[in-house]
Amino acid sequence: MTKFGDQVFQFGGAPVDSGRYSNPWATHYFVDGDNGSSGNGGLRPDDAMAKPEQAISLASAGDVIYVRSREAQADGSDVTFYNTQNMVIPVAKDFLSIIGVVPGNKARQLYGPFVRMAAAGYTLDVYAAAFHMENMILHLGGSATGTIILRGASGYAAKAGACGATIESCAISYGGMLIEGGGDCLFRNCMIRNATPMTFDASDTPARRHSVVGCEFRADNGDGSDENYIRILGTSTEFFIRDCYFDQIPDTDEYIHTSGVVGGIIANCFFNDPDVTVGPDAADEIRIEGYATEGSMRCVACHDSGSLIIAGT
Amino acid sequence: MANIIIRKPDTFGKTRSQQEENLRGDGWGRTLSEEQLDKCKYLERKLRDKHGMRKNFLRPCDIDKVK
Repeated sequence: MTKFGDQVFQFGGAPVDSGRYSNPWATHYFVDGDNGSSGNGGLRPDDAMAKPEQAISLASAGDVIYVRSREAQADGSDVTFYNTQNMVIPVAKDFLSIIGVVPGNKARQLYGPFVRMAAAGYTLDVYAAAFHMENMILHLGGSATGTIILRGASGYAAKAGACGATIESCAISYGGMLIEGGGDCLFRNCMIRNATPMTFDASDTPARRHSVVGCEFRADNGDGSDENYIRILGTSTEFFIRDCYFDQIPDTDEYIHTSGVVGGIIANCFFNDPDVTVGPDAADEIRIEGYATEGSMRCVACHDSGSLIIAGT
Repeated sequence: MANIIIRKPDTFGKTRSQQEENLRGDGWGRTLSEEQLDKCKYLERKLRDKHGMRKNFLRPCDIDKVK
């Protein structure tokens, strides 16, 4: 094992203290769409369940669910999906983790545990706090409402789906994500594409300290997304968007739109358009209402496809 | 009267790196890159030595802080 230097950084001072400590009684569940069965116990890889929602139903707070990639089609046709019902994480199942197990080390579109839902509602509907998900591909079809919703409660201090969630190395397509208020959520190294990518709605309950880091926002089959890649509504403070990549400009002509009382920073992001401006007006591609007022969101060290983006008014 | 609840101990691995190696051994694939697994083991050793924590589950956002 490599001996790294002691440069692990964190808040506080102890070298390492930010880990996610699982419940001492945590149980691991296994889902294998090709070899599993709904009649299995799900507690061993060779006794796996067939669908993620079956494992979620059995799991308790702090448990970990491993989901195996389905086998590729031999004839080169579309990837085999996990066709799911709504995956609902109730409030009692906080600290639940869903981890995709992939042939490589990161789920990409068409490469990983591909979960698709066509019924009404959200593919993943999270009421529980501190939810964690890695390496999954979530997709919606048919009459589905959206791909992921992290539910809010009465303010950022309350336990809810929009509190403390981490979503890492996931691919999310078509339905996007809706985050209702909450706080301390991290979206990291994800690929988000098509239609309605990401909305933080703090209209009803305030939001604090959400972070979007290292994500790729892709266009819609060669065209710009239908909606803004990121929308932030309501009272949302200490909001970070950094090291992200944005493809062709959406149909709305706005990459990011914040309205209401929104504070934070957009830093070191890249936008695939030659003349991106930042400011409070409808003509600005990064539209921050109330820009340059005290406490407003700022945009620094970002580039469009031609040059450094300089703030407008 | 006290009720004592005994649950089956976790046999799949007490740490992320043990679970990762078990998944690979079972032919399921992987959830971390080789570099992340290496860093994960380093962090787990730190947690064990400095905090006495022998059971934990590290996320990539924690693992990638090792530079």
